[in-house]
Amino acid sequence: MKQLQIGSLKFELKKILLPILYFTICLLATLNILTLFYKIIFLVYAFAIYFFVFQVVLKGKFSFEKYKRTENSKKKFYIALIILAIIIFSVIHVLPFIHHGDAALGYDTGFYLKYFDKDVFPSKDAFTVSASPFYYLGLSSQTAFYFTLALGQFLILASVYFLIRSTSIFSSFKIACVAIFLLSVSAIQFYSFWWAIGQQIMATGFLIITIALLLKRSWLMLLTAALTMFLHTSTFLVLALTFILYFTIYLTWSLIKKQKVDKKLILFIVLGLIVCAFVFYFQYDKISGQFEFLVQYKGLLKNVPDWNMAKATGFFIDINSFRSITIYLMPWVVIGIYISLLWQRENRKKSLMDNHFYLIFSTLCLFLTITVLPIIYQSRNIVYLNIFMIIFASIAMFVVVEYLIKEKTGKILLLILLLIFAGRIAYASWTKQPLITENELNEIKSIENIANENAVIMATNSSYAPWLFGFSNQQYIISPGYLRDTWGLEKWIQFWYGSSDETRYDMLLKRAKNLYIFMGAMENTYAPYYQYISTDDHFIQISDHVWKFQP
Amino acid sequence: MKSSINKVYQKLIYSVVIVFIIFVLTVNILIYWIDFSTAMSIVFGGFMVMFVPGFFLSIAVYPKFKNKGKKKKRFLSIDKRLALTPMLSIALITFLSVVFRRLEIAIFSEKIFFIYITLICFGCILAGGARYYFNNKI
Repeated sequence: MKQLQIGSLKFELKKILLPILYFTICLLATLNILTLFYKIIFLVYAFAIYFFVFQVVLKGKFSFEKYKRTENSKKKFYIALIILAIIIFSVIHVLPFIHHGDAALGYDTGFYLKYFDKDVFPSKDAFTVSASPFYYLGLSSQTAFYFTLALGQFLILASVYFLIRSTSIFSSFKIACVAIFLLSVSAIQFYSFWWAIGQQIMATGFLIITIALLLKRSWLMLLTAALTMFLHTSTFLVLALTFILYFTIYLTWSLIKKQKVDKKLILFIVLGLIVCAFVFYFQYDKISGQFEFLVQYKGLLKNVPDWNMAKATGFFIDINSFRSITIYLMPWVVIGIYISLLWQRENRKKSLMDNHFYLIFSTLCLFLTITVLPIIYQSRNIVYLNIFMIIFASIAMFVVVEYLIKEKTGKILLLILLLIFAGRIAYASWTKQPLITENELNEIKSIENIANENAVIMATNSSYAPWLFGFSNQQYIISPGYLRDTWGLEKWIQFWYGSSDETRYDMLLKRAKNLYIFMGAMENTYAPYYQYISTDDHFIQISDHVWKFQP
Repeated sequence: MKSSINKVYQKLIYSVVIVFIIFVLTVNILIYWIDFSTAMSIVFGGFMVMFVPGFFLSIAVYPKFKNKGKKKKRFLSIDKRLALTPMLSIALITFLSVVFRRLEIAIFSEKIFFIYITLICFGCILAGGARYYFNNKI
């Protein structure tokens, strides 16, 4: 055992390094998101967990044999946990609709709904095609969309279960059950559902299952990887990065250890590239459009103008919100990493591809890097990172759960903890407000009753673009920077804030004669354009938020 | 050897019975909510779309339910298989559908689409059944 000597005191290096590393990471996790008071509370929480796990539960030493011996005991509890997780999962995905009705979800809902419309369904897009069986089974387009969205999230649970069970870690069944529970109560996963990032949700499940199938060296990974590429290009890029990382580490490891390279893996690389080329051929139009966007800003957020920042970051929660929401997990993640790597070191296999937790840990590092770096679609990487954080957190939590379920008091404590987790996510699901009010949505829906099919509907705020697109049942929708907009930022600024109402009139006249304008509750009622439209005689107010332009 | 195969059979029978009970219960619940034909098509169609192809495709690739040999690990336990099943079903159906859609091959009318899914299901059942038969020497 390596020792460190300071003066007359001798320390075991490992015993000092671990707590120093643990508290440094915990402290770094609080930077810029917590005030001093909350920082202290968090560090006390982190210390309590550290003390409980290492001193009370493990008593300073980790015996994996003990967990191996008790692998088949108390299974009923874990089966109950998984059932509870599925119940919570189902409830939190239904609650927003009970509370807020049709348009309970966030920004992308309207855009997707349009592609589930019977006139364009199924489009050539893989996400809508994946929903086509449910659509043909008799579900309405709206229900089919929401069902597919929830199904996508369910597939993430299934894929994480499959990934953990496919590794050779101790008590993989029990750890997988804890991970499923944590995923079902994860606010980040719920928010990805609320933001309705459908393609990414669906693709994420296939990203994880492809990683799991690679660890199993299964040919099926070619099918799931191809579907990931069809579903969502940026998720596929993340998958490609993961594979590049794996193969680089694997080849370096083989070279250093002077091991033969597995021919099957080389064949996977070759076939994978062929499949990529095949899908690329079919998806060229979609992929090239997304690459153009990346190339335009050289892949970096610093090159993106402010007005396009929301789109460039990926229309999802920002990094600091993510850190605040998941900070309670950090101590568990660090301890989980320590336990899993310790276990992997004791159970080291000859081939790197069989040392699953080295690879899963490197995946976590990769996802952390792409989440922290200011690159295009940065916020969307939060979803992947959160899943891999939960995988490691579940290992540490499993150790505590095993300790607590031995005695009655522990069981009660555990039940309270489970209820807190469930209550927290149920509350978040119930109180998450939609981006549009019920009245606004009804007005948008009733536009088709007043406007003919050639009418042009214009939103003056891009927040309303998806709702008009998805619910108005009209073809010609214009919104700042979206859909059939041809103005560009300069003209919009002139329209919003310019001093001349005559210019505004000319601009609208050139746009269309049969024009309806939607100005929702989010607009600035003191802005010049709002004052002009709401008071000028050239506009007739049809309802609270809809005006008809009368040239 | 025989007893372990019997256990696998037993598990399979249990799984089928459980799936059948869930199927009947779900249909019963849905009948009260929606009309009978829609309920049947949702449950039966959902079963066809999300269970059958993936389950038998997994058997075609991993014919054994338990690890019996050290050299060839062509096994997949029932819980992992069930987790993989919906993903494989969706992957197979969506992948082929998107390719057909891109090639402008017309399978996207209600009837033809379900004939196409039924053919996929039959293909997977045959492939999985054959692989299971030869690997377990029934």
